[in-house]
Amino acid sequence: MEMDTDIVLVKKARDGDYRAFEQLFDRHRNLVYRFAYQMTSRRDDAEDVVQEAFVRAYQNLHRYRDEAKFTTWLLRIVTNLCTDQARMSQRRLALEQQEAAGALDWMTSGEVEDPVFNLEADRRKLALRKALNALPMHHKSVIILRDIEEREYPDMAAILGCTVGGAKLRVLRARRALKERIAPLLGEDR
Amino acid sequence: MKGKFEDKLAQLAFGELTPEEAAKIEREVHGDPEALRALSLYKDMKEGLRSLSEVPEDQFSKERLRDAILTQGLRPVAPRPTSSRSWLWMPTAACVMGFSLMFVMNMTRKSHGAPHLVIDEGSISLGISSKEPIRVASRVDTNAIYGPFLPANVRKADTAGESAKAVDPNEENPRILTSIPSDDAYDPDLGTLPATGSAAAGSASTVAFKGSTTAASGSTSGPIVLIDQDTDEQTGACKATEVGSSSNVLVGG
Repeated sequence: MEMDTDIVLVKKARDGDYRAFEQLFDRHRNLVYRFAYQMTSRRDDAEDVVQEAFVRAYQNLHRYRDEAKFTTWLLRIVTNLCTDQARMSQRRLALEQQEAAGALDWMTSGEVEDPVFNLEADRRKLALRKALNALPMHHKSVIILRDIEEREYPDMAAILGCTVGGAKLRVLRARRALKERIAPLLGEDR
Repeated sequence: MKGKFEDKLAQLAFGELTPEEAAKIEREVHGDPEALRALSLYKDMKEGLRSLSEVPEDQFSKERLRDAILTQGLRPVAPRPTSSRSWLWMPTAACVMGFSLMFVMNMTRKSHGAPHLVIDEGSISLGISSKEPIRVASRVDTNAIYGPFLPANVRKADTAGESAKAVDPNEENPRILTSIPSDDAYDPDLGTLPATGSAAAGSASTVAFKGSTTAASGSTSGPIVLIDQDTDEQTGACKATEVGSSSNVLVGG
């Protein structure tokens, strides 16, 4: 049902109906933003990615083929954008690592601290986030899609441009890579 | 631990195995501390990743998207260059730059062939090689150089067949001539500057930077008169000192 509606809206947008495109934006902005935020870990970067993704979608609506889900096509754009952005932000990442243990996080993360937050859970979460960010983009994207955003394998295969079996294999490899990184951090207190 | 078994542990922890497969793996894990540790780690990882799903609210608006589309989105997407010969522009540009550089250097060298003002090729060195053709001005008016220092009633006479030139003392602004002759006017036998008359004493001695042959003496280093800015108390004219030779006198130095 949703897919049909997406297709109708895409057709209208192709015909010059900008309101139809805005409806598509309203429908899928959270999905795109969530994925972009997980990939970039920064709110402002994620918003930039959202903007660029929808601009590219608008520019390339004529290339969208109706047999794929619109969200799948959109997330593929986001994946490519995040990969490009990760390459460009290498220098900035190095600069951030020099900052005193995330002293400037409040400027960009947008997270509101809970006054009674659990220190141990927070430490683990932070360690996991750092380990995830340290993964190569092809591992990071499949972990986010599967284990954070909980997308199904056929959907992932369409986004990643591979077979379902290939998507499963990628997930297994990415999990193993993440475990190797997180083990010294989470396993040290065992 | 084998890779496949570890993958099964991960799938078990993330709930991706069928109940039969899960039961089988759990039996294998039982009594294997390393496998149990790995399974526990994967379960922690799963829970931790789920907790990362919380994201802060975005502040993105339709207006921002509209602005972005108006500024970027309406532009047609530039087609990527598909030609396999796109690399050709680099060697082409290098060739063009090389030829341009050669042309400019050549032009610069030609411009250096313009007439050089040489006083005495035998006695004065201007730092050019002797093989280089030297063009010499056939006539230089000393008023151009010495005018401010010469008394008004000085008469000068050209020599070596040049027309005599008199400076009218009543003339307020005597014409100053400094000419570089054309190729036709160049006398290859002369080779040096023609003389201008001696100033102060009206003698036959040549003025500074005079060429030797112009004095009709034939010597390669004729006498030279150095005119000082100080005036003589008796005559009111500039002081002039005659030196024996113009050798080793650097003009313009």
